Amino acid sequence: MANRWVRVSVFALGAVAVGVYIAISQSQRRSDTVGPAQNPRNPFNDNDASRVLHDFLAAAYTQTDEGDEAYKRVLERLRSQAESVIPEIARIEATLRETDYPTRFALILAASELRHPSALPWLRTVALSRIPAERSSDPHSFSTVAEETILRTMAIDGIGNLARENNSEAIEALFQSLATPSLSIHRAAVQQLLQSPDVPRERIVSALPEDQHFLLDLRRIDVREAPQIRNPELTVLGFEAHGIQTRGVETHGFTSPPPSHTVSEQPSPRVTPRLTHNPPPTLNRR
Amino acid sequence: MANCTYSVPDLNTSGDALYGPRICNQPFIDWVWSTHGFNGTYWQGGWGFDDCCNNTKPLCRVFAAFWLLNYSADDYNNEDWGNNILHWGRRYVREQLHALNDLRAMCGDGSATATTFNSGCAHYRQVSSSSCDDWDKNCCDWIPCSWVCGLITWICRAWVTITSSVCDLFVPGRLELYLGYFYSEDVVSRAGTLVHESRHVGGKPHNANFPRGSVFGAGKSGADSDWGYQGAWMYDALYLWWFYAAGTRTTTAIRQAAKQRGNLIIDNAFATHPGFTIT
Repeated sequence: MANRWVRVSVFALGAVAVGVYIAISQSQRRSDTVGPAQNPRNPFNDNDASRVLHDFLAAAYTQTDEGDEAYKRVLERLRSQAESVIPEIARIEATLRETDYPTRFALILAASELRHPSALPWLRTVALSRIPAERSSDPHSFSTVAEETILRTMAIDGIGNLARENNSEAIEALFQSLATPSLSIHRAAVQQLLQSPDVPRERIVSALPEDQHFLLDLRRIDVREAPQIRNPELTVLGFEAHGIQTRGVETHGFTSPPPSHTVSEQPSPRVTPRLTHNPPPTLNRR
Repeated sequence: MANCTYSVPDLNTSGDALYGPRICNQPFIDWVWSTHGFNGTYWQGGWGFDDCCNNTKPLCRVFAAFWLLNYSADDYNNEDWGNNILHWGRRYVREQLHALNDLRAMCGDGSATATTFNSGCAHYRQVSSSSCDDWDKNCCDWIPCSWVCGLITWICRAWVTITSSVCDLFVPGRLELYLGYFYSEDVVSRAGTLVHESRHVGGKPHNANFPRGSVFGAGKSGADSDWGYQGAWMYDALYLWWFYAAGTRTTTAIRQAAKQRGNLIIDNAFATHPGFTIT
């Protein structure tokens, strides 16, 4: 009798263990689900300034067969309305979500490209505005301070466009930015000041904290002069341990297809996870 | 399992209006899916598996990053390791992710855009393998010393192969991409993140604390000691720099974004500043 109970207990324990294992493995396999929230409304107004700004942003992020010609045309239109465009840029930027960094960046780029004194007050406001405290708990992976800093260094470059034309207010704005606590903003401002006419190096030195004087001596080099990566193939997972060195364009059957400008006929082709080693598609020019 | 929602920012300024239509090509989709370790389970449930040409959905947006990575060099089919990272970056990412074979989309908690898990096996493999190589290089060249030395090298390599394979078996790695990756980063930043994480997959962890004044958190771990360490930050920055300087099939605005991000990394992600700047 006791023997029977032992067997039943062992069987029950085994069944429970299998059940727990299956439950754990299933829970690990379960994926997250995602869906769209309500999207922000179109921030552009129905007026000339808003229209030309919209056209500029579209052209700045579009590649056409015309090359840069379309971009240059719309930039000319933008610059011809610089004074009315700037308030529009400021208004739209204020309506955006804080985390819409790409669009905020694009607006600052537009203001910089105006190269017009009327852009200076807004660019200065952006560059000198306090960076909100870090919202990410893992800034190494994603840092809101980093994203905000990029916006400000772009604004500094925009101010630099004016400073290089000897706009004294722009030069003063760059010096003001040296009083902010950000190393990147200091680096961007120093680079712009060094390229501006009639700015004594000593004045930059005295405006910088002592431990940042090295910013004056940063090498402005082409990427071809920068130290490159040696033997990247030796760190490719799965190869380095076996002493296999991959050379030339042999890619173990994974030759990428040339890019294509041809959109597939089906509007939403299903991804078919076929384990094929076919080469990737090729770029067919329309 | 988590449920999350996203808001789609302007498609032009994120680069998705430019790159989204380009990925909508069945041969490219088949190829990129099968060669970059996508885990199909994690791309369904709204992530875009059934609607992969829709540039408001995550799958299309990561495909866009892969497109940029693959076709931004003028002669994109030249992916020789002896060339620059604009050329072989795509091959590097492809081989790392193919070996990892587990690329997932997940909600995340908002603190990270991407995380590589359990690259420890790869790191162990790389470090141990280098030790075997170092031993081999210092071997004597007279018989029978060279025979004994060669035998030890062989045993060393066999041991590394066996132990790292066992490690792989019990500690499978994966790369998770979170909502912020798809909706807070533009296309070129997403490509840079893939390069960065692939370096971790290759077994190179960060080895220093962020310097004073770093936007990534002064004094916290996660930095690379210097440019010469050739870590994930260096790969990331160098890729962005090359894209800015020589990237094709893109626009000036997107290249400008790459420049600004590259400079930010150079200024903030190395314990010792590399001493140069992107201009």
